[in-house]
Amino acid sequence: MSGSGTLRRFLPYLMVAPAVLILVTFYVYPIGYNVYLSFFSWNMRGPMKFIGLKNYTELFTSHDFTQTLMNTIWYTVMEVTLVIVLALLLALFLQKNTLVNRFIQTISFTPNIISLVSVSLIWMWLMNTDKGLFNYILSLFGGDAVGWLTDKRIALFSIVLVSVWKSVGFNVLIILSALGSIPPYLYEAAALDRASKRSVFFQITLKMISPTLFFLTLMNIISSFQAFETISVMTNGGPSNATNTLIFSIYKQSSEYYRVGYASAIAVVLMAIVGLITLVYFRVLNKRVHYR
Amino acid sequence: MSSIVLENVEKKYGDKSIIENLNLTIESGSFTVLVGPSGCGKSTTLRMIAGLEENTGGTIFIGGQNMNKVEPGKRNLAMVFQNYALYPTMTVEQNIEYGLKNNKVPKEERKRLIEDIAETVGITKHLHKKPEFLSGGERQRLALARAMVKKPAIFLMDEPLSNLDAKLRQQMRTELIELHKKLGATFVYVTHDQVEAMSMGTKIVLMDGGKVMQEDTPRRMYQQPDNIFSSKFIGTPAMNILELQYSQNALQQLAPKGAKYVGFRPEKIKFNLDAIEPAARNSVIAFEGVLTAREILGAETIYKADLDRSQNIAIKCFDSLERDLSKTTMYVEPTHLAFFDNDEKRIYGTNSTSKSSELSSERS
Amino acid sequence: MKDWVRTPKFIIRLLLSLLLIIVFLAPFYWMFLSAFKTLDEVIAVPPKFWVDKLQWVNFQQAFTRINFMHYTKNSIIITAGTIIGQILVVVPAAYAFARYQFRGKGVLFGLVLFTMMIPGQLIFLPIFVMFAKTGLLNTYISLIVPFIASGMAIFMLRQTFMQIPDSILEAARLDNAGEFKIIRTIMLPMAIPTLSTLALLTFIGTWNSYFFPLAWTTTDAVRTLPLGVKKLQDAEGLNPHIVMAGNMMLILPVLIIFSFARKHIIKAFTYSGVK
Repeated sequence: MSGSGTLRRFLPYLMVAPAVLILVTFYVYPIGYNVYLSFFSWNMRGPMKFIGLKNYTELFTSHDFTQTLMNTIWYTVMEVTLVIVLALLLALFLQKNTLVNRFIQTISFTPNIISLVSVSLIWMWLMNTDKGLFNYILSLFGGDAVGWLTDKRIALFSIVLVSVWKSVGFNVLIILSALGSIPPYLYEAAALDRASKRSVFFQITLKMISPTLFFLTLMNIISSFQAFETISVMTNGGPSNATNTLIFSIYKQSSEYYRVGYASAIAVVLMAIVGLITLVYFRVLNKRVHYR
Repeated sequence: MSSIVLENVEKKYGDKSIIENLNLTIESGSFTVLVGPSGCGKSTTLRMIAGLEENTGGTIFIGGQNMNKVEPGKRNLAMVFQNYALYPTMTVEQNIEYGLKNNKVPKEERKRLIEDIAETVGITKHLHKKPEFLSGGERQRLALARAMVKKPAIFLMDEPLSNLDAKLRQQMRTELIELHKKLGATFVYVTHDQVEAMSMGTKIVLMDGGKVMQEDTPRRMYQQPDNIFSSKFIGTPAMNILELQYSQNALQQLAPKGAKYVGFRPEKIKFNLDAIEPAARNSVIAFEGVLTAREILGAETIYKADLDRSQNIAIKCFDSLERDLSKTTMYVEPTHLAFFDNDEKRIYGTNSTSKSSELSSERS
Repeated sequence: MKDWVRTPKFIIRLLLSLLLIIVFLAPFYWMFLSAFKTLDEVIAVPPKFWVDKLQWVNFQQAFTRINFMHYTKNSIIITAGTIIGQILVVVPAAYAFARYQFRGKGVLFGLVLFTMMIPGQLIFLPIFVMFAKTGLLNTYISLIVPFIASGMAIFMLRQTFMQIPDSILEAARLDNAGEFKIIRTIMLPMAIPTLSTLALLTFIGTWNSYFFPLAWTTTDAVRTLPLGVKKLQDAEGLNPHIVMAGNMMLILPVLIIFSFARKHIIKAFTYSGVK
């Protein structure tokens, strides 16, 4: 209101400056720089060579890239479906606020605060083909040993399983909080209208939490695209590329093969996919999802 | 010493003018209540006196000094807010101490002042609690203590009782009145509740649309409304206002020149002539009407009545009779009539001289 | 006992609850158990579900096989640095966004929201190149500074500052407090719950972080504990008891904090997920 004029006028800028500078340096600028790098051939040591769209043409004709892309899509579809469905079922199961339910909710959330490296190591040990607990339990029922992480038909699913175990609790938490915020009078009104259990679930419960489920779907899709720790620790992309995803191949191409331009091109593709999905999300959100 | 004078004060938000050309004198030591409907500018006026809002025009004087450029903290006033605005992270003691500390009051004196004030408002045993653990009444007392401890010449209060339940509000009203007597400071109190204004103020400033509609003592405010707005805002039910052109000849003939409306308080209209002073019985004005509703409020009963040409009135009576809701005749003494002109302004003077002859013709 | 105990519905519920408890606790129990077993016990078939004698020596071994102290020290420095840096950067920014009007505010806050939508891992490579070019590779700065201007932290704290009623600030002005005094004595104390929530989230996030410390380093100089434990796995893959012991030491600090601030952390995560 009053006070020394110039300082007062510049104070807000001074206050936001550090944050804005950091955000520009580490978010906005790198996006552009990434696109720039994708037009070059560069091994991080020698000179950079402009090669136009060559990285992209190589990408789309490469068998490895196609497999990586498919792996990413499969991984995402499996993980998102499983997490959302299981989390919804669990949340409905745990909806009543009892001691046991609260306990289960807490322990289901615990993996979420623990390093994915730790989670991966534990599951790696559980999934060990020779000495792992899982195969021992299978053998009790007369099953053959399964190569959880070594069989290329199963490995990707095993990774999904670990990720689901880790993140389902967080999703349960969010869905429970959405369920809790449905006003009770809706259920009372439905009861007065003699609505069936089924229609109460579909017409009220599911409708009211649909924005939350939709939001969680987006969150899970985006985090699936970033799944790295599990793959890095448990399979290192193998066996024979079966668990190699886009984000993992960006890392591999740059840090092991020093193909900065090529890796950047993969990153651009991944960014485009994420951008597209986010865009679709907001489009649909504006139109369809039921809002309070 | 601690009078407040507003001279041609105006307040604009961008192009929107909230208050224009406001002139107001609040006398030192008075309990002045700013009252009016929401959006009338009463809170803005109070906040400009406090310095929380800058007046975009005019001058505000406190104790004769121009306050336009003086920071709120240096105006020697204290304010009690509607939501109390207690500092939630501080204890009761720290809440009271904060202003003293900022004013560089030495520590020992602070301690003594806090103890005294806590004793006065009765929150001594809560001194080490945080505000969230206090009841509504205790929070109110803390807000008062925090204001009082600075010993300001002026207390500003912005609807301080509106968050309390009815019973506590009643009690706090009495306490505030006593407090005002004891401290002898200037109180400026904002409320939209006319009952609160009437019961507490030594002076009422009635505002509407950024203007002062009337400035008077509570009694005069009730008995002599300056305009239709005042007559309707103060008093429940509101003063009955009738348009003269739809009223009986007797009224029209009583009306001074230029009068368009006539008004009388609901308790001034009677159901029978016995209730009227014998001396005035000849000159009384009679109304024919149909009672349509009855509200029994205990000591009094309020009736609604439809008159001719879709005018209606309220009648307040103090007997315990339950009258039928049917056609009836009612009487008003001419001295209790107030006339208003085309601009809804009061026309003073001529209403008490009236001829009695019209009465009989009206009643036949 | 009461009748309802024997209803099929109740029994199904009970079994499902048990199953869920096993699903979520068994992996932890198995880690715990393995960490205290001898090598023979840990690879025994059939496996033992209990240990007779706790092998504390496993922890000692894990401790010495990798330079445990080195990684722990890095983890502590980077975690503490990120938390402190975040408070220093985020508090003034959030305050300005919440309480001041200035030109370009909308655009700048839009930038903050925009960065909240970018998955940071996708752009690690250009940032790696930037660090390489500026000689910041393998420095603490490179693992702290990019994370201290968290968009979510600015967003959350801005909400907090915006929710403080104006009348409290006005009361303080009438109590003759200047602007900076009001920030220091009224606003910041009122933001402490949010700040501690943010600190908890940042602690968990940074302590557990594996991707960036891996992607943005080329030597062990500033690598953190998750990388250390991964290295332990690479070196001692055939000794699961030692790997699990190391793993437990990585998890322990987070679990301890979780057990003390469980409600607070769950609330923080709920908030961050609902926004």
